[in-house]
Amino acid sequence: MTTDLDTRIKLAVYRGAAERGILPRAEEVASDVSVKVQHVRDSYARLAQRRLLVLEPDGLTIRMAPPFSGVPTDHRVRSGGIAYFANCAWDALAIPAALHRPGDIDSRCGQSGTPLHLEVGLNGPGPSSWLFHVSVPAAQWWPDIVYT
Amino acid sequence: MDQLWQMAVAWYSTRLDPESRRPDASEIRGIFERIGLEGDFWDPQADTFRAS
Repeated sequence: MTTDLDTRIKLAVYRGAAERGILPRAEEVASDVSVKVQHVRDSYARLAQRRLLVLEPDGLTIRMAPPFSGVPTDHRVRSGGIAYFANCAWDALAIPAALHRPGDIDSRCGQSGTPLHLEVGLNGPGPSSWLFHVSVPAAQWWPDIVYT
Repeated sequence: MDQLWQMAVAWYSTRLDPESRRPDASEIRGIFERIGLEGDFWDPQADTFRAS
């Protein structure tokens, strides 16, 4: 039963983010799924164990529902008239990929700070000379995913 | 950027679907290998980096 509940809550979070551009509050998720907030908290903990959510210490506020960010970042994506924050450059491309819609990305060069703009179509971004630098090895991404 | 797009699609294109989940370690390794990212740095279970 918890699997079914977790799926419903996961969909409420992700589809809420996709439709509104912001991650829903736990109370909104509880109302959407017709359960108590405590059930949402318990489910969030399980979803975090499965690395589908990153939670703030209160256990009810979502910091990340990858690729969506719960806090403002330097990686802004606009798609379908909705604005989103992505967790990183990878997630900025992942939002159009998850939505199956074209998108416009406004970001910043991690080395120079230069503002960057990128249009992403259904088949990806156009040609560019940009590089995506990964400084943390894959085996170490999750222990500090906010830094990664 | 093409590799990054392929990673984004492989990881997230089904994220809004009911059955969606994060790829497991072997799937992650396969995604990286398919787009030419190999070696310990890209191995999600590499002992070199003391995977958790």
